[in-house]
Amino acid sequence: MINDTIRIRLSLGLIVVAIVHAILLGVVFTALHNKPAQPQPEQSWTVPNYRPTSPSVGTIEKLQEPQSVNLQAQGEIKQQIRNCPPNCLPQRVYPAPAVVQPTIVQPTVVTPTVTPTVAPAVPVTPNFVDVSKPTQEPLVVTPVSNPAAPPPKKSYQIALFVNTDATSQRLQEWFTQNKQLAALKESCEFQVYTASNAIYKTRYADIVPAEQFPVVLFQDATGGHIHAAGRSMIPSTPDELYSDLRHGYTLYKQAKEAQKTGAVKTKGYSWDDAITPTLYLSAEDCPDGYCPTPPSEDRRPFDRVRDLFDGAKDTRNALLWLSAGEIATVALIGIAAVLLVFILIKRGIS
Amino acid sequence: MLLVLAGCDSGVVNVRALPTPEPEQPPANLPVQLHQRNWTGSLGQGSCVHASLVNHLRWLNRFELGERWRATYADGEWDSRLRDRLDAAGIDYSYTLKADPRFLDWASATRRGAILWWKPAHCCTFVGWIERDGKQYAAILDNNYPGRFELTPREQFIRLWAGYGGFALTVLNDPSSSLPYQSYEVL
Repeated sequence: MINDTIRIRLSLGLIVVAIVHAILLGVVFTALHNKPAQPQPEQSWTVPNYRPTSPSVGTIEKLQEPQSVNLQAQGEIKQQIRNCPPNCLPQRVYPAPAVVQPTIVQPTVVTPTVTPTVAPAVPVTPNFVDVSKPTQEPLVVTPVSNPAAPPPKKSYQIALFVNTDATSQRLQEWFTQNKQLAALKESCEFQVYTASNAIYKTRYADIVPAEQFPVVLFQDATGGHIHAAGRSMIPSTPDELYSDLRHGYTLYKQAKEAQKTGAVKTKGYSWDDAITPTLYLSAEDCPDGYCPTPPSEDRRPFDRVRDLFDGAKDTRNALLWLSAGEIATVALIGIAAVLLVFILIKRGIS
Repeated sequence: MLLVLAGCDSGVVNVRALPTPEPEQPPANLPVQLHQRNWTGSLGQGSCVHASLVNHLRWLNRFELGERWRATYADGEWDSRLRDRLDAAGIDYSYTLKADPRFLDWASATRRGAILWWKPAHCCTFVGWIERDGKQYAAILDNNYPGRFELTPREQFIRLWAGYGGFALTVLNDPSSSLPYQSYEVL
């Protein structure tokens, strides 16, 4: 009897401790996440009176002369001044800058070492087609000529190499009329080249021969091939092309992720074996409740799109984001409740 | 039945990433054949600002626009009038007047490049930052000396750029595509 009373009291005490622990956790959490109050502008501050001062000329002093004069650079500057009138610059006077002695380099001659990689036809995978849902969030619209918020870097590029034939025209129309391709185009750097284009002739003529036109080239920001198709490899519908691009993107991401984990070395690697068993996520990994994704070099601060082809599908499990303290509290309450029930049942039986 | 069907095509394709080559330098690597030389306008003045903009537009694959600009404008130019003229032409752009190095970082990272005040009473085309021996240099295409790039250490460049007025402007069209390379292979 005495033992049962002690057990009941211990269990109740354990519950009280757990509840107090939970309350304290809540208080600490709230205190830590309280935003500091915004500093209020000082009310006593007033606009200072403007005291006009008469223009004055300071004492003229001779500046220190450089040890040696770069005559070549001086000649260049004189030539530039002759070529460009004073009104080239804003109407301000600046102190004479130091003479620049730049290093001269010759531009690198473009010698592509990669042969045109026209991808084989990729079988259409119905699972990737998702016409009903938009695949991209709206892009952040930045004000024109705002130096504070230039548009973010785009991580992928699409280049069309086209002729004047009907297939080329149709290909270009796809990227304006098909919603999915248009959205993809907006999220990528997009260029159209013709055989007579100056940039094409100087950079791509050896890489993408005009005989292969029309060509769709999908690549990352560094030029890494994701998908390419030319002539007969281009599918007959925009949805199929989108599917092909998506398939290439999937393979590309798969290769990159495997490269990061080191699992690329062997075939048929085990994902479970590759992941460290001590890997866990804490609450700090997603402070705003947004599902954390592994940091990637192709993500940018303004880039709200989690993935180029990512939809709205989200399989987050809220329980995963509980902290260790919260889980301990819940566990303590559960253990105490079980003990209490066990003792009460045993006492009733006896 | 489902198990049998599921076994028809697992959809698993083994791929392998291939080595990434060194990035193209400078980032806005306008081919030599397209370097525009400065020219003298009807007022007898140099057209460095317009020549720089033509170089910039060519890199953005706006060759025809650059040619129209070259045929339309010449002689000296200043930042506010240049922006007015770009506005009139419906060309979107971003600019700084405060020699903010972050602007050049952005212009280089996005591979667009920029035009900027560089050297006394002169305008050049900034074609991005490049790395040499662990140091960062500004690569400049001077329209008085087409066919080469001039390199200046980053800190010195920022300091002098501020002294020259600190103006830089980038047209917001997409840059020329990167040179492609095979990034992965299917095993």
